[in-house]
Amino acid sequence: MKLREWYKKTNYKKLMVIPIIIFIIFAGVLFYKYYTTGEFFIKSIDLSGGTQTNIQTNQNVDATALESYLKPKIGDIEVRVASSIGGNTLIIKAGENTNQTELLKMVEDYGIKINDHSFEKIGAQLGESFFSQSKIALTLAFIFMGIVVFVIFKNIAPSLAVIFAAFSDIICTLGVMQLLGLQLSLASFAGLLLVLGYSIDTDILLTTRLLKRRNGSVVDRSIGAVKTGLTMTTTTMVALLALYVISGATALHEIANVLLIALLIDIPNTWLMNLGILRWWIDKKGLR
Amino acid sequence: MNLWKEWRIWLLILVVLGSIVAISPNPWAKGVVVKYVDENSPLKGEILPGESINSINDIKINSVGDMVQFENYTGMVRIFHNGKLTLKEVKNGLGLEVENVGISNLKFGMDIVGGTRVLLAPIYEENTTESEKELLMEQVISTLQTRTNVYGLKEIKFQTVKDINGNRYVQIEVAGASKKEIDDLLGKQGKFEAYIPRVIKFENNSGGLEIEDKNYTILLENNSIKINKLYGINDTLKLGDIEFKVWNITNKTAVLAGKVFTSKDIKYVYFDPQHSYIRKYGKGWEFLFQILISDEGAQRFAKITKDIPIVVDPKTGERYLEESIYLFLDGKPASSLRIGASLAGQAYSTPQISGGGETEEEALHEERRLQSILRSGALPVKLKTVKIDSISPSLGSRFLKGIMVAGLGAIIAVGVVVSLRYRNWKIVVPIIITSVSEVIIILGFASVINWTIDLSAIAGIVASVGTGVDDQIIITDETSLEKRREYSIKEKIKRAFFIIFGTASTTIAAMFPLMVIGIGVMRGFAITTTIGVLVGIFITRPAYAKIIEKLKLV
Repeated sequence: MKLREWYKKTNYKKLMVIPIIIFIIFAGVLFYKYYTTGEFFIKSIDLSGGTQTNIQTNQNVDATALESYLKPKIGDIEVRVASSIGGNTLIIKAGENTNQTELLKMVEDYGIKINDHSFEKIGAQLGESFFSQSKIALTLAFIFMGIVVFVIFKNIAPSLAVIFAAFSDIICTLGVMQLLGLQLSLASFAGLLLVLGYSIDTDILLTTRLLKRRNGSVVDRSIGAVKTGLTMTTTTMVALLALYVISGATALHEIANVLLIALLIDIPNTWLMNLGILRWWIDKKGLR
Repeated sequence: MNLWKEWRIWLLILVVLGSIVAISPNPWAKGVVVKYVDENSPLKGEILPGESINSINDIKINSVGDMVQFENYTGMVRIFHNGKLTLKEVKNGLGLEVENVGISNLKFGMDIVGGTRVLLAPIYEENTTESEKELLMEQVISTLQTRTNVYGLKEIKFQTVKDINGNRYVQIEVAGASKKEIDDLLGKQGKFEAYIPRVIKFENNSGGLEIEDKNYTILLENNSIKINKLYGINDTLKLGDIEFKVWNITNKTAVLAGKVFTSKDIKYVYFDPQHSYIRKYGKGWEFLFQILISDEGAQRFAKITKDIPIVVDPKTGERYLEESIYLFLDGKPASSLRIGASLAGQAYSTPQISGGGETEEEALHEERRLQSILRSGALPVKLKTVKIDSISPSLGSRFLKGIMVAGLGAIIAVGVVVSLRYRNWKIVVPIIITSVSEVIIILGFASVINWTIDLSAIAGIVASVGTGVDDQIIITDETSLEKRREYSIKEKIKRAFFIIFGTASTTIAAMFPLMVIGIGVMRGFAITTTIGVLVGIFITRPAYAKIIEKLKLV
């Protein structure tokens, strides 16, 4: 088998460089964002306060042109277009005191036929409290997850490897979100928490196979774990892809989006980084 | 094959069947169910909410659409409801609110079926204790409930929500009302006040005001007035037992407005056609309705109006008091009325409130809104709207269709991937059946505990089914991996479950903080995911493992 031959020949320590570079790049993206804007990420209105009007239309709309049309009338405003099978969704974000009826009229005056719309408003204070709660939830989830991992493996190095992989998954996912212009919202926070769950699934599989099984060589066991793990990741990704394509501009779309990014990022983090650390640990301890 | 002797398989089958019964899906359901019978419906007492309507005047009623033709019906109707016949003379419609018979027991959230959800934050005064806050919150909700009942909104859900910092919110969900309607009706404190101004004319910086046969001397000093003490504009003072507010001061006059009525004085709001009606007025429409004021309020009216001079309208010859009565709602002027000369010094208890709109419907809505707010009384605290979302029903039903298509697509896609990997339908079919059972069980559980399925719950279902498929792959691979016969298949499955319990406990650990502290979206997601994971590790995955074990597939 090609993969086995290649993996046998390659130095696993060299492969660990790849996930480290990926981590540095996306952590760098976040710091660059912080350096230029004062914030690590763009927050959606449910974390910062404001109004969001989603407008369904069959027409193709130039978001930038509509934005510059609305800006003198409404002030601080941001227009995006999300396309899905059902048509286009215009996502208009504006200040807390935007009058929805007036806004819809302006959009119609601009020449857009509105099929349907939804509206959401969140006070700035509530947004802030949502944000701080989400941060607390993420931190606590991380701590609980770490405790569970320690209890399962009762070993420092393998547990730290799992926790680092999860941490890197989250940082890199946030970095990719910034590059793609995706906002951090309550839904994407929920997605990030689920990333913790999914990311650890493959790590636990790998660690168990390598440390608790004795059949075959370490390389054989590694390859076996990769096969199982990649099947798991692929099934999850195709299911999420179906959700992503069809769900339109909803919370489901955002969660699917975050998870898709995270699952891709998790591949090098688990199969190059975590696997590398475990093999190094096995070599060092003389385990076989 | 002795698969049918395994209790794990039977447990799965029983739980799935139980769930299907709990959901009781019936996509072919026809007919309508009465949701609400109007107060003034001629059918009140004859037809009860919850009854189904079979036919009206021999026209079969299969859906809400079939009821439209009777919306403004006048004449005799023959209604078959729950198999009974009722004959009744009706005027301008039946006064029934109906809905289609549900196609299942599942309840869907407003983000799927459409509606408006508002989160209101009470603004407490400083030094309000926790127990006082709780009490105020109860009062707020009961006031709002009265208001919505009077206004005629049905299917409204009130809930108090508490966040991690201990802040309390009222969350209100309404199926079919516009965002503005909700905001205007529920976001308003509803503080009612009525004032009658008295004008003081100054001569040499001195004037007088007579209240209750008592004369008060008022001095003008540096843009303030002096009655024992100095008062500026908007200050309040008490003369006798009446509270006055300084409305205006110039160097010739000062206006002191006496507070005659407040929310507490409203004893009754009239709804009957004699005291509450709508009429054409100029280009638009005008509504008028009367309220009944307490004795104390009526006495204050008598005291303030006693000494107001009378003027004669030069056109009509009618005699009025020189000053009008001004009504305010939440500090904003609502209407003003002239006071007939005969009322001066009388205990007047039925003032009229008026207003208008451009169309008849607008005027009617506005009248209803004011009546509801006045009838329910003022809220003990001010409310601030901190969050609104609204989704139109048609958009919602598109979401639901989209989600169903997505679910089907996801199952097919997963099926394809597993087929490619194992190339054995004996593994693929159980994986798909197990995953579908898991969805059915979660939905069944949701209908048993009356859990509302909203978008976040659906995300949770997707998440738990995703981990479910992962775990089945782990079971399959673990049993096939160790080809040497050192371990029995039972042993191998036990090892697979070590990984499965490990991943399940990390997922639950990650969701736990959200379950405890999250508001709204996140909380439903965390709870559904956890339920799904638990259903998976205790019911569906053991059954799948047994199938793999007994079929000796690998």
